[in-house]
Amino acid sequence: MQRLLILSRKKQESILIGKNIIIKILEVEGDRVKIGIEAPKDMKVLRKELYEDIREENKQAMNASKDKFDKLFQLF
Amino acid sequence: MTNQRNIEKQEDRVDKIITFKNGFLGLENYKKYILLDHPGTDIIKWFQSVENSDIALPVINPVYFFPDYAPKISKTDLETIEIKSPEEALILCIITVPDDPKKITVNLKAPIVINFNKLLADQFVAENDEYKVRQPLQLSKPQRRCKGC
Repeated sequence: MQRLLILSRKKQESILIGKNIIIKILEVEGDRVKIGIEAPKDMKVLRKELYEDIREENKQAMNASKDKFDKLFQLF
Repeated sequence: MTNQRNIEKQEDRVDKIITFKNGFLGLENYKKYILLDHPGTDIIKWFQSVENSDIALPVINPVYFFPDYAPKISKTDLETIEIKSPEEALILCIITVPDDPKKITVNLKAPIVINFNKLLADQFVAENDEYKVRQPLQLSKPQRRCKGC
């Protein structure tokens, strides 16, 4: 089950997630927040919109049918 | 890129299952793939899932089209697939072929890095701001310069 937890933090304060993920607020400037993330090396940390963009593109790439490739090779 | 020879040698490629550490982004449930040549060409290859036959992604060697292509991927990321020096890595990029094949694009932002000696791979995000998820690709002739750069 997912839940949404809302916390207020000041500069240099942190949040601990589980035992080994630390999220630290490093800088706040206008509407930009600089965040430091300490996480296990094998854990992927990505900007969400970039992850979603790549995920969608991977799905599109998977849709490549034989027909599309036949058309593609006519361009060679 | 010494490992590039490996995928061109039939005997090295057949039945060699490459294990993705995390999987293609959005396809994290599937981790085992084989790399196949597209019939009639050595430019396009396919990552074919051995766990689900519906999952296959076409890839190209980006250096063929973008000779200057040099994605910045952190050492920490590369260590997850046991790569210690750049020569150990083979890099492939996923292509997307839309209904109008002239609008083919290549994902330079999230390349697949393969450690052929260990048969490990993953899709990583390059730190280079100039690399696009949808970089137009001129298939008819190799581009001499990286247009995205």
